[in-house]
Order: sequence, then structure tokens, then C-alpha cells
Amino acid sequence: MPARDLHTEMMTLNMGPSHPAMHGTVRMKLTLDGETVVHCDPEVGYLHRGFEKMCENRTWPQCLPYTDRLNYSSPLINNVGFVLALEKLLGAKSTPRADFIRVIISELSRITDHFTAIAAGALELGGFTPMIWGVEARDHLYNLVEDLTGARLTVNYTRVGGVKHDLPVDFEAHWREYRDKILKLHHDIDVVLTKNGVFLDRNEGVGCISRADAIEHGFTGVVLRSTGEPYDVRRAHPYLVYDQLDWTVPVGTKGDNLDRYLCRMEEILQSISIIDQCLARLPQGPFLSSEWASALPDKEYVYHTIEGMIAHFEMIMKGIEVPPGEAYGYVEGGNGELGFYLVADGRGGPYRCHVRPPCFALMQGLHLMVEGGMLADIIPTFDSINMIGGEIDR
Amino acid sequence: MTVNPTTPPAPLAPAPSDLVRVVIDGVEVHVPKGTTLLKAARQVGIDLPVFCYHDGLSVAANCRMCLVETNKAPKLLPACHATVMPDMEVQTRSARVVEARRGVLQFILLHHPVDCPICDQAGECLLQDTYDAHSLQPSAHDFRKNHKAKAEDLGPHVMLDAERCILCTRCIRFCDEVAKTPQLGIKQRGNRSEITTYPGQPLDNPYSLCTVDLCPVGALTSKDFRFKKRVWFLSGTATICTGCARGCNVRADHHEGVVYRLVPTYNAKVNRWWACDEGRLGFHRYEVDRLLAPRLAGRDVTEAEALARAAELVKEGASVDLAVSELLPLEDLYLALAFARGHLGGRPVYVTRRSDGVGDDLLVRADKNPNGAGLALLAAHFGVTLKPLSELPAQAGRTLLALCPEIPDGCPGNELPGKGVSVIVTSTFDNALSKKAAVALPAVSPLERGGTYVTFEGVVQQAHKAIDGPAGTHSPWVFLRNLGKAAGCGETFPATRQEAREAVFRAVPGLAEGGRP
Repeated sequence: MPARDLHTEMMTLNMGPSHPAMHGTVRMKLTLDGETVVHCDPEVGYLHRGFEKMCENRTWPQCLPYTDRLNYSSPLINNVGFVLALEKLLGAKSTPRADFIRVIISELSRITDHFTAIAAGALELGGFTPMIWGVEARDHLYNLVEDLTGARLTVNYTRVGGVKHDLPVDFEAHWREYRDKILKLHHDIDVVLTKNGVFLDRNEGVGCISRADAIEHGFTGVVLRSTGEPYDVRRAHPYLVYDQLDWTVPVGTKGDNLDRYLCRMEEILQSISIIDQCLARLPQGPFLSSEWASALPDKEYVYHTIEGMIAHFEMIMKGIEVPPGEAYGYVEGGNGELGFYLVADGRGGPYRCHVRPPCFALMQGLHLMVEGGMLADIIPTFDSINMIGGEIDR
Repeated sequence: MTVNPTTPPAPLAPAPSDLVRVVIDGVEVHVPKGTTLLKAARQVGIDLPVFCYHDGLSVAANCRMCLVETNKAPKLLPACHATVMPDMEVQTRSARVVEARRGVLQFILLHHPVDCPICDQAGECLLQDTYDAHSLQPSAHDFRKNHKAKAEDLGPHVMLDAERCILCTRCIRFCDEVAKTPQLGIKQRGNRSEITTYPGQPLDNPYSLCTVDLCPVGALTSKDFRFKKRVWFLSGTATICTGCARGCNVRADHHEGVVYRLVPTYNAKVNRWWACDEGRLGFHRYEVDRLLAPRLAGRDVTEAEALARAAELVKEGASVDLAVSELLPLEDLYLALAFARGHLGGRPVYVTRRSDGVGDDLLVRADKNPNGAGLALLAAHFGVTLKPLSELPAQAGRTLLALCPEIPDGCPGNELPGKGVSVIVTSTFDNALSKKAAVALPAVSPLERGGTYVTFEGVVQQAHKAIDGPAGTHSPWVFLRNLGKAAGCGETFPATRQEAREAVFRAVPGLAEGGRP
């Protein structure tokens, strides 16, 4: 109330783009009455690489590594989303084993994504210890991802018709080892944060958005579910093998920062359970289809037969020749519905590639969550939507 | 042993009564009697896969890649050889045809070596592309592949890798039918068959490199090009061979400012599919002995110094004469002759040219100059008399402005002017004239400038510029423009070659690209 009593003039403040809390180089043009946010105008676009335009003169397989860099907190989900859209366009199928592997890697990425959001959120409110724990949990999973793909972040792991290579033989053993460590860290974070007075003061009832507003603005993911709307692409439009697994979609009630934190904490546990189920039911068989028109032949064929050699050569030089058409493929990303709208004209690469990043929709409704609140509350609120600059690149 | 050439059916006059109705993949088309199924299919936009068939050669029908299903024969027919029959229904995509193509490719690839990574043809290989489009099936065999000779020297320009050969016999038919030098044949039988030359008789006809173009795989490779550059790095520029008066259409393949090869392109009026070895290797002559800096009496100077000295010579000279070359394109010649008419009075213009060599009755002309016809045309247009350079009177105090990029030594008619004549020359090469000249200016080579040429038959053709010349080199007309500016002659010149070309086409009636004036 003091700000109103003092009758100060409105002040315009540029928060970002180069501000430590504005991750991903975002600028917020704020109109302040004292410390109260009267108007907030978020502006994206300071981070621009032209992912969509670049794809137009690459082949389909060459586009895939770029998707790693969209939401870089969960690169494997981006890989899965892109090839699922491409497979839809092509009418291709992946192998049963690859379907399970794709679910496993999607959930690994979801856990790393949620830990990142929680860790950063804690740090920005002064909680250095939970941040270290969250990042430690993420690092354990990155070890697993590194065993699997050879990289911790730039993974480039999925392929049309399957995945690049099979799970390492000791994958399950390593998963069990890291799973226990992650559960311990999850528990510790839960103990330190969930009933922490300071944390609750800063998050409970802060950054609220109504269910109707969230739907109106195209919100998906944790932010939408925190309002009580149980939309999850994995449940609403099941893909891969999600409909064969036993898991629940946690939802909030108030749509505030605390609900989002609680949803993420619960989703981590759900994802761990999904991975356990997938590993238990993982079928044997090939991890990549043997359709040489869309999948690279096994190296055994490439090195020792001319047929495999030519198929490999043509794929590398020309890409995958997709018949003219268009498709929209979508998966549940770390922050909501991640969609790829692809148009093919018969060449080996996309005629047009559009990405529907969940964070872009979140940014267009962010002002509803911060206007009327305090300037300092922008920090936890902005963190709770977990905007990732890489995917709102446009 | 050579394959018997069968004469392709003579084109028939398309009288309506001779038209035959055929249905190809459900599309009805009327074609003249005697048309092959392959050509009929092209009329409805279907390109059938082929290896042995080539528009410029007789039909061998030995690769079986173009097999199609018809309602007139129980077996599949080779579309390149079978001709249309009334109410024939042709299927080019039926299950039987698809299966046949896979079978054919399986056999063709049976003994094919795993060579793509080291094969020059990879990237422009008909076998790769056809397998990609029509099979993509894994190999069905598990025995050792047959091995054959890997780098067999067939002649001065061509190497054979017998393992890669698919025995389509295009090269044999080319030598028999087009080059009229039956130098190739097949020895052995079955999977031991190999392309070979006769003992002691190399593949040395003047068109031997056309067999490399024709080869659908990497079996025949050009000794000049092999292992020089992966083809996917190359950019192609449509240009004209300047080796003789024929003006063969060629594509200059280049990468990062270096030309790697010239490949003939189809032009029905000029060279059809072919080009001679000498012409297509001729670009190498511009890689050595180049004049790279302006020179005053043997000393390297800046262009400004050279032009200033040239302007002095033009102003001081008792008389100024102009020499041009039959090697120059129309734009340079037009501007030079216009300059001569405006500033040099009615005196003759002197001409340098490559001296005549040997011609044949396929493509090679005895006249080795690419634009003799163009120069004659422009001389007539301006009413200028042309004389050989050797007729230039040796008289002290004269200045000769020689727009002659190449003056080969020892050509009759090109004898250099005697003592006392100050020569200003634009030269591509560091040759006798550039060494002797008072001012020598470095000129670009044909592939570095492009230009419009008129063939001996009067076809007007445009060559596009493929690469940039070395720094400081220009086309002769650019030096003429710069010299005109330095001498203050008041002449207005076009800014670009394109503008110069438009000026020529405007000024000379009836001159149009591709046409005959």
C-alpha cells in the first residue's frame, strides 16, 4: 500500500534482455507504480538463430541436430517430437523396441527439465542448496544420457524409424543406481522447500492465472495443469506406448507458483515410474527400421555391400525424399505441447518447418501472471513457467 | 568383337493416319507409328530408368532396366526397343515392373565393388540414383565378388575400372557410330566380360572423353579429372568451348575459382551431345604462362601507370592502328571497331588469329578461332577493312593498340610488327608480344569473361562467365574503356558486358542469341 499513498509517478523499467534472472535473453518492458507492476510487456526475439529458416535448406536428417538446441533442458523430447512429426508426414513406423526407448528418453529429459526449473527457482529465491541438489540430480541423468548418446546435451539421438543405436548393455543397471540417488535428492529438496516458510511466502498465491485465461492464451504443460486443467498430450492424444503404461497426471488448483512447483515435483516421480515400467517391459528386436528409404542401413551393410553403401550415400547426400504433403506432430515437452508443423515438397528436406514451442504461448500470457503483483515476484513467476530461450527463437 | 549397331527407326512424317493410340499408365497418347515405348512414355511425362539407352546412340536393349508391362506380350518388354502398337496398354509402375527392376538391379550390383567413397562418379552416378529410386533392397548374395582390373589404361585420356562396368556398351556404340573409330569391344563371357581395346590399339580417337560422359557408372574416368574434385562441390556454368569455330556448348564445372572440367551439353544446332577431347581440355592452357601484372617495357607497374603511358603513346604516335583478334567475343570486337571508326579514320583494322589446323567431319573445325564469323559480321556492319597483322607497315613513330589476348607464336599472319612501332597490348599470356610491347596489360581468359560468339554456321551463342580472373586482369574492352578515359577521347562505353551485349544486339540488325543473322 505504501506506493499508492506516496502518489509517485509511473516508472518505465526495462528488465532485461541482459539480466541474470531473464534467462534466455528476454526483455520485459515494465510500467511500475512504486514496486507494483501495472503493465508488463514481454518481448522475445533477442535470441535468434533462425531454426525454421535454416531447416529449409537442409535435409531432414540434417535438421535433427538443430532440435537439440530448441528446449535445451530436454533435448531428447525435441528429437522425439521432430521424428514423430516426420514419421507422420512420411507414413513411416518405428520398431516396437524403439517406441519404448523413445518413451524412456522422453521421461529422462522431462526429469532433467523439471529439476532444472526447480533448482533455478530455488536459487533465485536464495536457496543455494536445493539448486546444487537439483543440478546434481540432473547431472546423474546427464551421465546416463552421455552413455546412451555420446553427448550430455547435443544428443541427436532419434532417427526416422527408430533411434540411432540401442541402449547400452548396462543401461538398466546404471539407471537403478542413479534412480536411487535422484529419489534421495528429490526427497531432500522436498524436505527443504515444500514446507519452507520463506519459499511458501514467495510462491503461494503468487503468479496466479485462471484456468480460463490459461486456456485462452494457449497454455499447455505444467502451467496449464497447475490451474486444474488436466491436459497432457501423453494422455489426451497418446503416442508411442504411453497408453500402455500406468501413470497419473498431477494437477493444481490455484494456478500459482506453488502449484507449478508441486506439479513438477510429482511429475518427476511419475516419470521415474514410467521409466521403470518401460525397462521392465522393453521388447527385444531392432532399434531402427530396415526401410532404407528413410533409415540409414546398418554399418555392416554399408561397409561390406554395395547396396548398403549406395543407400547410405544417397541418404547423406539427398536426405529422405518425402512425398509432397504436410503434417503436424506434437508431443508433451518439458513445458507443454511441443509441436512441429512440417511441409514437404518431395525433396530431401523440408519446404517449411514450423515449431510450436510451449514457451511461446506461455510468454503471451505472462503479463496476466505478474500484473498487479510486486516487481520482485516477477522473478519466481518467470522462473515457474520455465521459459527456454532456445525454443522461442523467432 | 563389337556389338552390332542397329539403325534407329527413321523419324516418320506425323501424318494423322500414322498416329497410333497407346495408353501409358492410364494416360492416352497418340504417337507416330514406330515410336518406341520409352519415347511415348516421355510424352506423358514418365522418365523410365535406363542404363544402356542413350538418345544419341543406337538401341542395344541389353540393360533391361526399362522393362515395362504391356497387354500385347506375355513377357515384359524393353521400352527403349519395343515400338508402339495400336491400342497398346503400357504399365510402367505395376508390381511386375517394380519387381523386374529390383531383379535387374540385384544382378547389376552382384559383382559391383563397394567403391562409392573412392569413385569419381559418386554423386552423379546413374547406378546410385537408379538403385535409390527403384530398389533399395539389401544384397541377396553371400559369396565373394568377382574381381577385375582396377586402373586399366585405355588410351591417352581414359582409364577403365572394369569392376565398376555394367556392360551397357554405350562406349562401344559411341566409338562405332559417332566417332567412327571402332576401338572398343567386350572380351570374355558372362561375369568375366570386360570392356577392352584391341591389342596395341589404344582408345585414342579425338572424342574419347565422350565415352567418359556416356559411362553411367564410374568405369570409364577421365585421366584429367579423376581424383581432382568430388562432384558435389562443383558448380556448373553454361558456356561455349573456344577451341575452334564450332562453338560446342559446354558446362564449365568449377569450385572456388578453379575450373576442373568442361562437359558437353546438348545443343541440336551445334554439337548435339558431344565435344572433342582437345576442346574440352583446352581450358588448361590458361593455367600457365599468364600475364598477371601491367608491364612497361618488361617492368611490372600499376594499372594507372600503364594506362598513363599508353595514353601518351596514343597521343604522341604519328599514327595509331588497332589490332583485334578472332578469339574475342562480339562485345569486345564491337566496342573496338566502333572506337576504330570513330577515332582512327578509315584505316584498316589488323587481325590476329590462331592458324588453321586439322578438322574432321564430326565437330572439329580447321578454323581454330571461335569468333571469325562474328568479326567478319561486325567488319561488314562498320565497313571496316580487315588485314592480317603481318601487313602492318613497319614505320617509326607508329603506335599499335593490340586487343589480342592470345597471339600464338609462329602463326603465319601474326608476325609481330617491326622495330619502331610502339605496341600497347592486352594479353592473357606472357608471350613474345607482351615481352616486346611498350605497354602490356593483363587480360582475362575466355572462362573468366564469358561473351557472345558466332559459330562458323552463324549460330549466335552466349558463353557465361564461370570464374573470376586473377586480380588486376580485365577484358580487353575494359582496358580500351580505361585507356579512352586516360587519353580523354570522350568515348562513352557501357558499364558491363551485359550492357555491351545489348548495345551490339541493338546496333546490328538480325543479331539475336541462338539465331542466325
